[in-house]
Amino acid sequence: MAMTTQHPDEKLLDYIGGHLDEENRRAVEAHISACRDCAQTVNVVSHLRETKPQPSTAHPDVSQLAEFFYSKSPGDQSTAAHVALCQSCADAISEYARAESAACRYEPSFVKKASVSDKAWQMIREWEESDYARPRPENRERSQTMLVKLAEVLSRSKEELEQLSHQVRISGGFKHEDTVSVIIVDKLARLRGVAIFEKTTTHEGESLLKPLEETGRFDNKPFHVLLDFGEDNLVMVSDVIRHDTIRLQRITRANTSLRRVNFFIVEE
Amino acid sequence: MPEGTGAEILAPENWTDEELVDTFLARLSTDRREAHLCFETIIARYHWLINHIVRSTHFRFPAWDSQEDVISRVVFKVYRGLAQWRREGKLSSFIARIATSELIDTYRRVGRDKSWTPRPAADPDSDMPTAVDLAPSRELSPEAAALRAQQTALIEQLLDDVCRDWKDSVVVNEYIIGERNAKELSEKYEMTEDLIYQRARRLKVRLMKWLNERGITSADALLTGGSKKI
Repeated sequence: MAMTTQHPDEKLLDYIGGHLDEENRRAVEAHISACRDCAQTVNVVSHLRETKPQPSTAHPDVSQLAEFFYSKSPGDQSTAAHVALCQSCADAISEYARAESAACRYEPSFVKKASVSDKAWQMIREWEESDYARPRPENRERSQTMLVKLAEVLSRSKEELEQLSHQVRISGGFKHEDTVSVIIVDKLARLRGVAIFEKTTTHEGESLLKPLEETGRFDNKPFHVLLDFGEDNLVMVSDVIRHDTIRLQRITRANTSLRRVNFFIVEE
Repeated sequence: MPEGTGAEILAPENWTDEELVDTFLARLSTDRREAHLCFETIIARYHWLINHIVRSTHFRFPAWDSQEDVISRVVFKVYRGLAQWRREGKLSSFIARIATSELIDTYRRVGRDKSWTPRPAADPDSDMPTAVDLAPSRELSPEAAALRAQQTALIEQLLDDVCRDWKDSVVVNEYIIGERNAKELSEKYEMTEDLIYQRARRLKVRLMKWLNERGITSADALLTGGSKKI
């Protein structure tokens, strides 16, 4: 039978739960009688709600749960099915969601009173004295390597970058005021292109960058700001783009002024 | 990265997180006192966040493993793990991840300890049957258990294929199967209600595609293996 109305997606679940009034219930039933997909959905979801199947696998350990929450790609799918069926693991995921949301909003400020507790220092000292306490600076090296590579892009492709930026602005009709050029590179820091972002300031004085066309293309992509304080004093600040928005940190240096700022997005 | 004298090290409040962590890691093997100063500065910046995450959790902890103890362990684990901070993300996210993992780990450990229960203890002199005595046996016959295992495996395969990330999984768990409303989910998982509806719609499309590809037209067919195209 042909479907005559738009799928009542949200109402479908209310219908299965018996939460619709008479009028809406009839409308949904009329739709279901004509739409095989929605009838199938009602059938399968009703059965899942009645049987409440439990996962057959053991709870993922904490590191697997964290990886599942923070991963940008599907990754380990057995965790996805487990969390879809396990209430305690879904609750654990909600703790990550809450913490990540607080972390994204958090503006660090130096608080003199807050100190490392004696108990924490005791654990740190015991660990430092143990045989397996080995500092592993791999990520620091990775950070330094990226800084060097991005600086190379700037010196190597200076003219190309200026041309690209000019072309993008001309073709998009973007004005210079309140916009910045963001350089797109791949993971090996090879130049891919330039995108124009709009710079705004919130009521709280926070600076934000947003792409002029919000396509979600840059969501969850690593973002680096390269600050040049002169005399080879380069500082890199990194973040991840969330909801098409970049929050800029305010970085200052005593006795020196900022000469140039460049923005980079790393795409796969 | 700032280089130089102890006088500079004593005032690292204006450094970026990257500089603090780089200096902390560099000094760990050469001058632990300066490394500790950097670490104290990092904790001074992020103590509020750690405190907030641990104290606002929905989990309950017994007195012998208090929130103060959890916070101390989080601080220790941040110290131990700073070298693993990937610079693609903010330090606040890295610290939040450690704090939450420690919370969940503690909660699971506490849950395994039979000496602690969140419910009040029953009167030991009472002749009344306990809740455990009254509970019906949950043991299935071997045939029913085998059928249940087969059904669960198929449902897990379906969910493996249609859930792309944690948001899909919790929408299936709480909204589609669990009958919570979008507003409750939005508050619990810090997602917008629109996103929940959008995810539910996409999940429905993928679910239908999955079923159609296998010639499954009803829940009965799903739970008995469909038309064997799987």
